[in-house]
Amino acid sequence: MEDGALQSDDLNLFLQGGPEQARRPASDPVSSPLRELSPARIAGLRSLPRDTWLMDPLALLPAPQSQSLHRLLQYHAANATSRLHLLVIEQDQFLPDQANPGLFAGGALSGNNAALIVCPLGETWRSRFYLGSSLREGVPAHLAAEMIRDCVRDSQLVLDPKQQLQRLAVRASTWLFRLENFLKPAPAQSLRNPLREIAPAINSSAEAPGNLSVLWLPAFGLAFLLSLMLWKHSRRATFPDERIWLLEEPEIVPRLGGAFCGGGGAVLHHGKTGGPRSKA
Amino acid sequence: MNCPHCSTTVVAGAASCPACGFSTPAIRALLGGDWVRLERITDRSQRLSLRDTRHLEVCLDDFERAFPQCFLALYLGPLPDNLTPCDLGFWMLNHGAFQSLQIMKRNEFGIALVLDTLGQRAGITAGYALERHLPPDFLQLLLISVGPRLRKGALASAVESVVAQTARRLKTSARPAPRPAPVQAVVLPGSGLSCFEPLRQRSDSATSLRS
Repeated sequence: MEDGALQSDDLNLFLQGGPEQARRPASDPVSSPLRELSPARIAGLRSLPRDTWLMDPLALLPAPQSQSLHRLLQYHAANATSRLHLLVIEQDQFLPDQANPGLFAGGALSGNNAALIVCPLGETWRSRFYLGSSLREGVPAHLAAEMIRDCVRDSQLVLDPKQQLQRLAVRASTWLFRLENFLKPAPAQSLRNPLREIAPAINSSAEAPGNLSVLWLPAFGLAFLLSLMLWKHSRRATFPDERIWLLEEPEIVPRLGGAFCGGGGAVLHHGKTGGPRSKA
Repeated sequence: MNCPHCSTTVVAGAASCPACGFSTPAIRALLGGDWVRLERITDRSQRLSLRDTRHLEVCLDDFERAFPQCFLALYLGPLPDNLTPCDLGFWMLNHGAFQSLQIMKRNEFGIALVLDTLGQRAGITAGYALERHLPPDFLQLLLISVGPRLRKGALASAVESVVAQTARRLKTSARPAPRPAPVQAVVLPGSGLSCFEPLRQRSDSATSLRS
């Protein structure tokens, strides 16, 4: 293998992170009891404009971080059916139950597709997730729980509190995109419809079989089969295969000095000139 | 198996390629020998829109949930002429700590998909544990099948197809495991909103959280 003009430092630039990445000490656990967010702050949250995606009443985030998160949440609002808001509070604070977060941001959070994450900076494991009625009623509880666990777990992969917040927001946005399949149309008046419609019902007002003419029987059977196939297809789309698959771990003799990979793979030249040239 | 650099057949236990001399020390001399933290999706060419990136993250999440031992990492960017996509894939799987759903996944179960946006090459490399399940001829056909999308520039669609076909292939040799028990979330009433807090049940006293 010939030596190129490339240096290892040049190519390391395109890879994020590295052994030189500075590590900040984990935030120390707060020894004093948690403090409620003050009523004045809560009132201030209510008076914010409706398009305040990022609520940082205590100015905990520096401007670049704040703008980055705002752009992320703004992008989410522009491209997703759901709306995601993020409230950042101090490490030792919590939002009291009587705070009525639906009134925050001028009542924007009272929407059916709204989602709010209240995140203590540096303690993402204490984050609280609020979901509007369409999300609450459409998304299965176990998926909502998995979403929260996944968001928190992902945020804990880094030590810096601001990066934790960024990862939490990105992860939550990704999840909400995914959960849009479960969104139901907003109920007009009542929210007392916890069941999700999963199958088109066969018309129960059809004539009794005894009254059907012979010609209708095969048509009825065909309609039933088509309905069943459509139901399975929609169910597969709504409920993706949740099985897990396990692979055997064969013994492999290492090659080329690779501890985890011996280079087994394939390459394809897909350029427009000359058509595909492949090497296995 | 073949050398990732020149595709010459390499026998098990060989320390370097008999044809081109490719080996771990050789690639380390070019890319470094330290462990590097890598994201699942590295887009140095800025070819993926934010929506495409989110969609691919969902695809990769689904893949990792279906195959909890495995992960797939994607790199898009320009590569120099003396570096093949499989060279980089080999290096990534042997030196990368990937930010996957479960950071402790073993790299032997990893798949590295490298798209050279400058040289218009695509390479896919599998870890040792997946070699038997994803043989080189399958991987070659897989890349050929997504070649048209790559030529059109539909990179996200091509990657999604790679993930889907890989999953279908793995299911043929994997065994299904029982579904995990469903988790009940704790729903606390809110005002127009409902709060999910399954991690910790808050008590009436705030101090109890610190006990």
